[in-house]
Amino acid sequence: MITVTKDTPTREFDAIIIGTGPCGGFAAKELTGKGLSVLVLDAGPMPVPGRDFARHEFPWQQPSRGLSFERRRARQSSDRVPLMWAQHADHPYTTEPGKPFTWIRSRAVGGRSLHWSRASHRFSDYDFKAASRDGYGEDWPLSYADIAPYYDRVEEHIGVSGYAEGYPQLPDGKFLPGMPYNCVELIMRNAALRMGLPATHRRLAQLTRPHKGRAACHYCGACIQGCDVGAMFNSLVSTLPPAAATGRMVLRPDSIVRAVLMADGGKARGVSYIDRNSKLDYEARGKHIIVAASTLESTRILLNSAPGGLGNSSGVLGHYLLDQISGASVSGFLPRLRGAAPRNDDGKSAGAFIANFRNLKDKHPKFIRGYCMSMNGGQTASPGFALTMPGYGASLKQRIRDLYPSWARIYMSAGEMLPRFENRAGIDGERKDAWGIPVLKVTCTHGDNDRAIWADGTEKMKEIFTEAGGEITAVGRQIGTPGGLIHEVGTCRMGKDPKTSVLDSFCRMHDVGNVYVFGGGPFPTTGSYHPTLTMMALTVRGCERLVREA
Amino acid sequence: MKRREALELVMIAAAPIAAQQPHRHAPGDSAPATALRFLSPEEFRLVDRLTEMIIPADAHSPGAREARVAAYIDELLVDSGASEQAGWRSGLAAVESETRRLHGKAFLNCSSMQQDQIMKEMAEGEESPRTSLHRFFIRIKSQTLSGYYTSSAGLLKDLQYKGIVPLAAFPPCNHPDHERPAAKKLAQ
Repeated sequence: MITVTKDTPTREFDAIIIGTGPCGGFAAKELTGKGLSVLVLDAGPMPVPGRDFARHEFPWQQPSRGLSFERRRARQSSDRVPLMWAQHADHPYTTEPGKPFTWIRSRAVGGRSLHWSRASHRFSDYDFKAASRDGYGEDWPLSYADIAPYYDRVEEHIGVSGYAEGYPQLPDGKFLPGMPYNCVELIMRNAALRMGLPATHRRLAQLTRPHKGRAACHYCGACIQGCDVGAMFNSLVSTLPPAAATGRMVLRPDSIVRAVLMADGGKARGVSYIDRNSKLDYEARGKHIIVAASTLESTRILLNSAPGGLGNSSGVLGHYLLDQISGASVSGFLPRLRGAAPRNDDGKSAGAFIANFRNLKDKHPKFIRGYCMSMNGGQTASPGFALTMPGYGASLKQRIRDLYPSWARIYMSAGEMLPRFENRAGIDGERKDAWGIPVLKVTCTHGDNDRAIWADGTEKMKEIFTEAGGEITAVGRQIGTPGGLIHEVGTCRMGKDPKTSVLDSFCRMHDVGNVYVFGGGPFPTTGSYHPTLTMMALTVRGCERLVREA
Repeated sequence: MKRREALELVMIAAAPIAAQQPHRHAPGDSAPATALRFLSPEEFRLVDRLTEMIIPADAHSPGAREARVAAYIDELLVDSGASEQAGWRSGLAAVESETRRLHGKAFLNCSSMQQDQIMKEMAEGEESPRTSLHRFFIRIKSQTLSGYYTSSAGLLKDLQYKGIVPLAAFPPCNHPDHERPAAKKLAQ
């Protein structure tokens, strides 16, 4: 049972945690579990799952049909679950003309753990030590051996379903049983395996059997609108309850942190925050400050905390902003499934997966680093392919019905974007949000290597689709807008050298020893896989260090 | 009660009824279930007819009319930007003016064959639209498909979608030939 407070505590806590997403939630669990008292602040309200999640609803039971296919693509929010997808108007940010950046946020206790896609893949030293292999940029200040025990601990706690495959670039973890493949996924996976590609099922923080008091998945399929049984990992069901059970956590929703406050002597003493509803200002005191408000919100807080930014002697705070490469996709039909009998192909919201295979042993002549791909299809709730079918009338309707079971798609789920200093987030200087806090100005563009990865992925996906016997009807035309994949990382990077990084390998600030930043911010590179599992492992590792010093 | 909540209740209440009804609508029986919010009654009837021509009822399943696609479009347009709204207004006007030019009467007063002649003309520029009619066809077709396949008629009756139900286990593919590496050759 998670209880929340509206009080404004004045006592000093062992730690103040800003944010309750995957990392803030884990920090609360880890620190309270070791006897520390924590004040947890979240900018959003406490969700009521029965009211704020859209459970088992068909599109016609939702306002605007849950947003029609086209509007869903065009918007950065959802009418149905507004807590989980923050409204842009209240939370503005700015960009330069012609350089769009998509920033999708959540304003609720649980943060983006409420609607993430649950993909949980480990990085390997191919990711952590990429710079040593190809000479570009910086290595991470830690290796796979350093982080592996923390991957174990995170996976054991949250529950990750998957198949152990022995692919060195995609280390196996502590898996619950893997999910079965539907027909499209199986055909596509087998095509990839025939081509010698490292294919498996996407590894998911979604339970295939009861785990730590949480129910197994019942395959209703509407995961990103909120999971009502807690089978999908989020902070509300997995990390905040054990923290609350210790009696050492005070959780205050609706608390928007403006800045980290400094004491004399170079240490942080607390935070200033504004109540979301009353708009009154308060201060809280803590011996340690954990900034886990999401990649860009954390950096915004640090930039707003001191002239030039808190902990920014290196000058790199806000720089090296990254989002993984997206927008490469190939879709069409698998003729052998045309007219197939109705089946339930839906329910997992995830399918087959291909680990990175580029630049592992051989060097690609056109680019460094690599990418991973996902494959799914079949009889899903969103037959968006219908929009691409020409004509009208009875024949169109018949053709859509006939093709429906055979629709398949393969897409780049994450391509590694190279870090560049000029991609950055800074304070806008003029614009403020609805609470009077200066907003971010974001500048992020792709480079040649990023575009080369996108192009290579597109060609490889055509090959896989063809190998599967598919007829290609649509090919992604351009690289995705930065930020659109919601894998934004960087801007507060970790490193061995305080002159070129903000944090050490424990996500602790070089300049201010009692401030930790958890989330995507510490990432020096994007790696080739989904970032959240690694963020959580870094959090657990950092918390262990904090406890040792506390 | 807020409009959105009220609307949601209406839609939830209406869905099972719509799903039970056989398609027994007479051609003129297309009155909206709720008050129109953007389209005029004349525009609504025209949209209703055009969408039913794009996705008609057939022996297998109901069409756009029973799926209330015109009402869906009306609701969508209230929340759309000014240019989208203007595009619909002028597009519907263009359909009427082309019909009057060719047949000398309103679209809904034309025979099915005459109406289909207009629709053919609208659809022929789908690949590379050159006229306002071509552009309007793309607009109305896209929203017809979105509206139809997010309705119970489209998703459950026509496509026979089986998901969004709690299951004890995910049903795996159990076709032995999908596992066989040489299956690709067999399928061709």
